[in-house]
Amino acid sequence: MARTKNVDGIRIPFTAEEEAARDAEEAQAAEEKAARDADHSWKRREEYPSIDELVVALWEGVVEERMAAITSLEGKRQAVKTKYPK
Amino acid sequence: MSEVKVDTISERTTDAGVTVEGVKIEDGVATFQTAAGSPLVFEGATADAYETTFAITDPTADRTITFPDESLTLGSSDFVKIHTITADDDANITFSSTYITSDYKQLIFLFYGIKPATDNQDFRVHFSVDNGSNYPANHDGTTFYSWKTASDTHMSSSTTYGTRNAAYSVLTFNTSSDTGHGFSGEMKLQDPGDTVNIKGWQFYGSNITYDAAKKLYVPTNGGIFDNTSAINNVKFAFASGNITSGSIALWGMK
Repeated sequence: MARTKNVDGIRIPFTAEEEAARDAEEAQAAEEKAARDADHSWKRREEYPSIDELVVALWEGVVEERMAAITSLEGKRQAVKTKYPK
Repeated sequence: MSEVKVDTISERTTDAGVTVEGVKIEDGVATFQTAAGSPLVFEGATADAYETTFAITDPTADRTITFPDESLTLGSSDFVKIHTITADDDANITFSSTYITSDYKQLIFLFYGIKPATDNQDFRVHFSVDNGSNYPANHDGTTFYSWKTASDTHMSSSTTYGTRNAAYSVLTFNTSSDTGHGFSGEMKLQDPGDTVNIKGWQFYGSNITYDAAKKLYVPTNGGIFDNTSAINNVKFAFASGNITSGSIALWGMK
């Protein structure tokens, strides 16, 4: 089915040139998306423990010499790395 | 000129009212019907070539305009609603030079219920200086966003995608097409008619992601359009696929 553009509220069918341009744009977007999805770094960043959690764990470990939080967070970080390998 | 002086004119036929040159008066209600649709014209204190007219668009259903029980003065607002476009499975929504003009120092686009036809789509904005003949690669932008899943108590935050010399900027990303997941937000564009400086824009919004986690994203984006010509056309589209539904209202600040 032919695409339409909605200009100022008026629906206008794409010309053949506009169809070709949109096909090319969508193909390029798919390539960029695939590259982004393949990038492990941003996926890891979303699932790593938060900066706040890291700061608290470090404080407890370094200042209070209680290592439980650090050990727990390191386990979470390693699990994320395993989930999204380089 | 003849003159008639009476105290009261009453209807001759019950419930027929009294009609004077297209103005029907019945039970204290005056009904105006004119072909031009402007039945109220005020000359003011001075009889000259200038009048103030109430212009009435021919109604297609019963309408009511209500004045509140208070004193007020109507005046020209600096904040004006310009136009609204509703998507109907379109490849893009475009505001042309009809509405993107130099009349406004800031344009505000309000998004409501915008939804992609296919899952996992980025929503993009494109600017043109030749009313849509071209959308030049002058975008330079970045995104900061907060996010959480339904099971998270707190939001996390991260920087993510940026654009450099691109023909678009990303407003939302990984947008869900599920029922009820249309995104909302607003984008501001500074001084689109400026022909000296580059243009700045900002976006704030919220959307649900496509994936199983159904993350809530709250993107806060900003960028520049590195072009000193006046922007006179703004196009919105998903990276791929159509915009199935939703509306974009354009407001202008003078």
